[in-house]
Amino acid sequence: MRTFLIRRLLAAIPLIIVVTFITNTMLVLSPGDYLGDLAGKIGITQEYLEHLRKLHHLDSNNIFERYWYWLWPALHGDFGYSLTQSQEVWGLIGERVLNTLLLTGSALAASFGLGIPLGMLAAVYRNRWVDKLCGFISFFGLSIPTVFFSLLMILFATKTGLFPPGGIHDQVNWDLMAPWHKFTDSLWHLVLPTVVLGTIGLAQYTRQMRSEMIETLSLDYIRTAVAKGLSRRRVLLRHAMGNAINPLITLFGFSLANLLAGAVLTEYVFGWPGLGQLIFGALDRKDEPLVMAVVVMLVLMLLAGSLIADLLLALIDPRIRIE
Amino acid sequence: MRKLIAFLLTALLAAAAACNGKGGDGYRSSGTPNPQFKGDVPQPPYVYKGPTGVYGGQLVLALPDEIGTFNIIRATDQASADVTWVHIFRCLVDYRNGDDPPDYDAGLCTRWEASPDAKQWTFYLRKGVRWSDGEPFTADDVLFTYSVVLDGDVDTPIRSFFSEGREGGKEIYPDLEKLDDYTVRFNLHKPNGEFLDAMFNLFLIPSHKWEAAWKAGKFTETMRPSDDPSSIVGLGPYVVKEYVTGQRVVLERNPYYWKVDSKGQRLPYLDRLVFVIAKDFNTLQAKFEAGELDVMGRVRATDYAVVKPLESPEVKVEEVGVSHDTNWLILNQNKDVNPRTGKPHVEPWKLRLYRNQKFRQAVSFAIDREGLANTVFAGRAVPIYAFVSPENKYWYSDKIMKYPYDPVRARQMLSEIGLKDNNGDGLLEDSEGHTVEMRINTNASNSQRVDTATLIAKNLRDVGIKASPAPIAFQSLNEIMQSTFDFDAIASGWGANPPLGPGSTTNILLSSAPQHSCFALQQSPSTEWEARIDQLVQQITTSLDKEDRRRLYAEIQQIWSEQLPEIDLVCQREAVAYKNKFGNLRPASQAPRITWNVEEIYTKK
Repeated sequence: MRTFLIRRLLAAIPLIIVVTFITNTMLVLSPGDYLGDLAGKIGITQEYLEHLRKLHHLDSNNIFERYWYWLWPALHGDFGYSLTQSQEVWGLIGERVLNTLLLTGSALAASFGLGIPLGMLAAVYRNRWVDKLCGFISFFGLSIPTVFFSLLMILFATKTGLFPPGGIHDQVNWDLMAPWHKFTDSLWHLVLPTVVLGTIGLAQYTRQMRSEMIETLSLDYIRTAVAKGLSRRRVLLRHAMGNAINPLITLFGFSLANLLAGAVLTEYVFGWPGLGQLIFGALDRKDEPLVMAVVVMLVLMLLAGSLIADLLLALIDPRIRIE
Repeated sequence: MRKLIAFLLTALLAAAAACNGKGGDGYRSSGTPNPQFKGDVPQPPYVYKGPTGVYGGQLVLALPDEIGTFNIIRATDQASADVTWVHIFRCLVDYRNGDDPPDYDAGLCTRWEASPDAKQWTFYLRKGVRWSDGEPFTADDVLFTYSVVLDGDVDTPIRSFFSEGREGGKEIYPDLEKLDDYTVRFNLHKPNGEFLDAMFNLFLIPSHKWEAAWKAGKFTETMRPSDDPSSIVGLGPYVVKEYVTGQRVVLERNPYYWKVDSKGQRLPYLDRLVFVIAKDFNTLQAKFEAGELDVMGRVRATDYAVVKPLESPEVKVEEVGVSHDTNWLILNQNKDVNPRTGKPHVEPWKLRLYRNQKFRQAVSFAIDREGLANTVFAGRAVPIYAFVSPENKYWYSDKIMKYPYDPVRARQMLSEIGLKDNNGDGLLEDSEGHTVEMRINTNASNSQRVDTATLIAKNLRDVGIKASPAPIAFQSLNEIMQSTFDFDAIASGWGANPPLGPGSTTNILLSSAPQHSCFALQQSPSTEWEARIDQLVQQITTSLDKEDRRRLYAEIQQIWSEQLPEIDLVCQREAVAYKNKFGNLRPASQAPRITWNVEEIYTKK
C-alpha cells in the first residue's frame, strides 16, 4: 500500500512538470500579454509598461527561461501574485476550489445515484420502455453540448421563475439571511448546474452499467444463484451488481477529467464562482501566474480523483490488491 | 433507511424551492436609515434642493468583471472604477451629468475661484466634513492626495490630467499650496480655463490612513480587494461592506456622509448598493428578467430589441440619447522605423497613400455609415464625421466636412491621385504597380467591431481597395496601437468619461499624445494641420472665455473632419432599463449613467 502511494506520487511529478510546461509555453507563444489591457488606458506611459514588463519577466520570449521564472519560485511554494487582481493566487483559488468541488461532487453524486439504478433497470427490462427511455437519456446526455444545455437551463429558469438564473447563492440579500435560509438557498441554486453537469456522467454510467449488467446476468453463477432459489432481488443487488459495478469505479477516475472540463464551461455560463470561471477570466486577460496556479490545482484534483478511484476499486473488488 | 434518505432529500429540495420561489425582493424601504447616521452635519451643510425621499431599500447593479483594486488612485479597470467613483470616493467638486446642461457643483468645497488669468485656482473646503471612519477632512488630505498622484513611483492614470506639458526635459504640474486648514490653491504655470476638468479626476483619499504606507513606498499594497473593507475610507455616500470575488460587492451607507436634503434629512436615502458580477449580456439579461438586478446600465444597440419587450408597469426601458463613445477607422501615418525590427512601421508605398489627405477622404466617402448603423448597430446609431458626439450639445460643431456614402466620388478621387485598375482585376494599383491593399485590425473578442471591420472592408473593395478584416486579441490590438505601431488600419473606438469638455480629448488631439493613434507620440508635429491643432488646443487651455473656447474647439473639429486623422464612423444610441420603483433615478447619457446622483435616489413606497 505504501509503495503504491509513493509510486503514484513520484509518477505525478513528471506529469505536473509536463502539463505546466506546455501551458506556460502556450501562454508565452500566444500574442500579447496582460499589459495590453493597460496600454490602452489614459496616463499609462511606455516607461511604466516597460518597467512592469521587466518586473514580471514578460520581456523574454524564450520558453525555457520563462518557465524557469515560474518554476523556481513555485518549487519554493511561491506561485506569485495575480497580475490583474493584486492578490496572492492561492488567496483567489482557495474559495473557488471548494465551490468547484461542491458542484462536481453533487454532479457526481447525482450521476452515480441515478446512473446505476437506471442502468440496472435497463438491463433487467431489456428492450422494454424503461430501456428505451434510458437509451434516450444516454444519447441525449452524450450528444448535447454543455454550453448549449446550460443556456437552455438558464432560459428555462428565467421563463418559469422556478430556479435562479445562475450564481452560487442569492447575491443580493445573502449577508442578511438566516443560516437555514442560506442552506436552502444554496441547494436551490445548485439544482440546475448539477442537472447540466450530472447529465454527462449519467449518460456514461447508465450505458456502462447496462452493458456490464447484461453481460453479468448471462454468466453461469447468476444462473446457479437463480436455480438454487435465491430471490430475484438478492440475485440482482447482491450477486450481479457487485460484479458489474467495478468498471464504473475505473470510469469514475476518467470521468473526473470530463467533469472538470465540463465545469469550466458550465461555471462560466451559470456564473458559478469556481475554478473554471477563474481560469476563463485569467486566460482572457492573460493573467499568467493565475492561469498556472489554476492548472496546477486542476491537475492535483485530477490525480487525487484517480487515486481515490484506484483505492475504491481495491476496497470493493477483493481480487485487486494494491502493491 | 434508503427510503428515508430519499424522502429527506426530496423534502429538502421542495423546501428549498418553496422558500425561494418568491425571494428576491427581500429588502424594502423601511423608513429608518440602517445603518444610522453618526456625527454632525457640516456648517454650512450642502443642501440638496430636489424632490425629497424616504430612507431604506437598496439598488442592485451589475458589474462587468472582478474588481482589480479599491484604490481609486491606481484603478485602471472599468469594474474598479464602476464601484469606487462617486459611490465611495469624491473629488473637491461634483459633476451633475444628468442635469441639463451637465455642470460642476460645489460639493466638498463650498465655492471655488479662478484668478482673472486662470493661473490660480482656489478652493474653499466645507468645514466639518468627516471621512467615513469619523476623522475630520481638512486641506492636508487634499495636499496628501495630490502628492501621491504626482509621485512618479505610484502608477496612476490621474497624473496625466494635471500635466502642463514638458519643460526642461520633464513634465511640469501645478503647485498646490495650503492657505489655511480649509483653503487650498493650485498655482498653474500656464493659464487653464478647464482646470475643473482635471479636478474632477482628483479623488480624495485620507492622509491619516495612508500617509505612513505611502512614505514607506507601500502605496501599491493599500486598499486591495482582499483587505479588510473597513480600511477603505472615503468621502462618498457609501462604504464597502463586503467583497466576494467572482460574486458581488456590497456597499452600505457611509454614516458620516455630509449632504442633507431640503427637509434637513441626511443623505443618502438608500441603505445599500449591491453590485452583482455578471460577465456577459445573457447572464445580465437573465438576472434582470428574474428580478435580481434593478438596473441594466447600458442596453447596447444590438440588445435593444431583446430588452424593449421587457417594458411593463414595473420596468422602464428609457432612451438616454446618443452615446459619447465614438467608433472610428484609423490609417497608420507613422513615418518612423520600428527600432526592434529595423523596418518602417508602414511600407513606404502604403505610407504615401495613408498620408495623402485625398486618399483618406476617398476612404471616408467609400464607407456606408448608414449601412453600418443599420446592420451592425441594428439601426440604433447615427453617423459622425469628427471626434465629438452630436449628443455633446455644448461642444459639438456642425460646421464640419461630411462624407455621405458616395462610392462614385470615392473612385474618382482615387483615380485623381493616380490609383488605376491597370490589369482589369477590379482592384486598384499605384504607379509602381502595387495592388492597393489594407489589413484592418480590430478586437476579435468584440463582435460589433469585427462586423464593423468586415463591412468597411466590403465597402472598400467596392471601390477597388483590397481591404481585409484582421481581428486580433484585444491585448495585441492595444500593443500595435500603443507601442509597436506596425499596422495598416485599425477599426476601434473611444469610450468617453465625464467631463466632456476639450480637456478630456487632448490625449487624442495633440500630436505628441499617446492616443493620437494615426501617428502617436510625435516629437514635433509632422504636418501643418497637426501643428495647427496643437496650437488650437493650447489656445483653448489658456483661454478663460467659454464662447471663445467653443469657437476654437469647433475649428479643431473642422480641421479634423477635413484631414481625417481618425475616420469617425458612428455613435450608437444609448438606452437603460430599470425598475420603476425608484425616485430621483434620472439616467444620463454618459457614465455613470444611473448613479451619478446616487445619494438622492430612494425607493418609492
